[in-house]
Amino acid sequence: MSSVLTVEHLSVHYEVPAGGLFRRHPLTLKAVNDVSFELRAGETLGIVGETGCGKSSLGKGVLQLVRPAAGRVLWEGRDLCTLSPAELKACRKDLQIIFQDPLSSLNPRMTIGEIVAEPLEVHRPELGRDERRRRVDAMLDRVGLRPEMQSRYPNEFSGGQCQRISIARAMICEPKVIVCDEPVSSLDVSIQAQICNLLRDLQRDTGVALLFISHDLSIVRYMSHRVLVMYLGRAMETGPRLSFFGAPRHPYSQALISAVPVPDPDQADPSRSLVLDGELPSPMDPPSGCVFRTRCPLAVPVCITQEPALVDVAPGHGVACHRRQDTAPA
Amino acid sequence: MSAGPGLLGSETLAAAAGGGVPRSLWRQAARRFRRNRAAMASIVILALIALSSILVPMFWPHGIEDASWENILVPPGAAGWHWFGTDANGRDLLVRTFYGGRISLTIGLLTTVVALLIGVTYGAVAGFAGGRTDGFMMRFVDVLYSLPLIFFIIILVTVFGRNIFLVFIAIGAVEWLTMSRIVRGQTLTVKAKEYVESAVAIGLSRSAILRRYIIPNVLGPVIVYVTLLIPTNIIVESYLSFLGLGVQEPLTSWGLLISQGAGQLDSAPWLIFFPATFLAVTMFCFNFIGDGLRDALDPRDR
Ligand code: SF4
Repeated sequence: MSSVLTVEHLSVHYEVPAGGLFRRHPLTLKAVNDVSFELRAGETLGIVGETGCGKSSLGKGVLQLVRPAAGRVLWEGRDLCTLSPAELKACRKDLQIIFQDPLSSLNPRMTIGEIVAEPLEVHRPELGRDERRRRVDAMLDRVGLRPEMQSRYPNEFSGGQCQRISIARAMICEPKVIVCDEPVSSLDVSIQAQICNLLRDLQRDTGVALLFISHDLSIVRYMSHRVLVMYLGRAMETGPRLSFFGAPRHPYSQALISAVPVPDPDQADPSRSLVLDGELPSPMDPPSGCVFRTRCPLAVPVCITQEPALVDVAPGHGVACHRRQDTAPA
Repeated sequence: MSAGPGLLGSETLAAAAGGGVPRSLWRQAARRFRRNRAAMASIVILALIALSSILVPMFWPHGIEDASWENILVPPGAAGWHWFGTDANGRDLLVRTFYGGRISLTIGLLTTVVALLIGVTYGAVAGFAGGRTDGFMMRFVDVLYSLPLIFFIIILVTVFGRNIFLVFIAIGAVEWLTMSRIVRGQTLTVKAKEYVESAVAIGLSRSAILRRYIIPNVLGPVIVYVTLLIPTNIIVESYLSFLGLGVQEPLTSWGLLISQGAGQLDSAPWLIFFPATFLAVTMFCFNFIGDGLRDALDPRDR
């Protein structure tokens, strides 16, 4: 499969302005630090990590909603980071995003029909009014909403319905990539499954590639073909779903996976269960060497001095850990 | 208003989207507003007060300065067309009350317009700019906030002399502070909303984002605040006049009439009763309208 989007050494930094009596100098928050990955046509890449690990910033950096501090985002042979706003605007037709909070991601002063039609107005102005209306109807129907709902306002809909509207808005221009930024985290569990299935169906029908950002490993497992684990802005491990969930090699991934409740407790393997202790360090002041070392049960002195590189342990399965040899399943 | 041209731009993409974007929502709000009885009644009463303030002084048999030594402190009654009675100079109170209404309402409206123009522009600029500019601009507002209005007006009056224009410039110049805070806060809130980011993500132009996303969402609270600012300013004018810093004879306003009536509370209570009643009713009406607008414009909690 060919890659549609290639991200190379992407870094996203935020300036935290100087303020108050105690901090005279602005700080730099390195939300994403040197992360690389490929997104292939029709696949879902799951980005996992705890809150504050930079996964949302990664998604926004890829779409240039925040301008990355360094790195490249290659899209159809061009680097999005170097494009002018006008050139970028043309690319936005194919690169879309769905946000976490369904209600606050819809303009309360626009009707559903207007919200869904808006991308068409921007990118397909040549379409007539009737054609646009026809497409909006079809799209609403496709995401499971009745087209008669067009003239209503977002506040009249439930969270799940609002997320369907967001999906319709993201999909109407037939994009190639959608960044799903925690699209189901604020929904009820039963509705989460519906939305996940809707996304999967749409992917099957249209071949759209998804960058699926979530802190919920079981959802990522359900949705993704490949997985990328992030911790404090760095990539810890990346690999195909089977290989990653079958034999995670990074101590952090192992801890995350062992923390997911297993449907059948008899099958749980107590020997592999790992619990993370300690607090997540401040992203303003990450630990030296391996950023995970303050919570890593396997840390050794070299972890303090040297940052581990992401090295392949199996085809397509990379791990950033000095002790990757010792974490292989026995 | 810095954002004015965008709002009124005729090239609104939105209008093409199927029936005009803002209008349908405003229409919804209007429908909700019309269902609010208190607010609708208030509008009728206010309109009556405003109309009579304009018309009555034109047609009433007595002028506002027609003193008459034979009719000093006549109590209210039909005799001699002194329905509200007369004051210590024998001037008809009814015509003076409505004439005072003209001045009070005009000052209330004009000062609000001044506050609105300065406040919205200043607040929106600070909110959009953000960062250091925002910090600097809002510190300046904080400093002005700490100056008491009365102090500020006494300085103005001492320097420039008493003048009705000065009064409303002074009130407007002080009341814009709160307006600018409201607008800035609202701008910041709206700017941080994900729907604005989603508008960037679909490639909408800056001006379209401002027009379709920011302004309609900032406007609601501003409109509500305006309806509450008008009565506030009328009150401010009244107490300035009461203190002798505002409107001067031969002009009159509700505040000035109340101030003069207060001196004769025992002997001629009607002198304070009529202007005070009109002032209070006007306050209530504006507040009911403000409440009604707030409920109508906020589609979230109904
Ligand atoms: S590099 Fe060291 S600290 Fe980091 S995960 Fe591996 S063993 Fe743990």
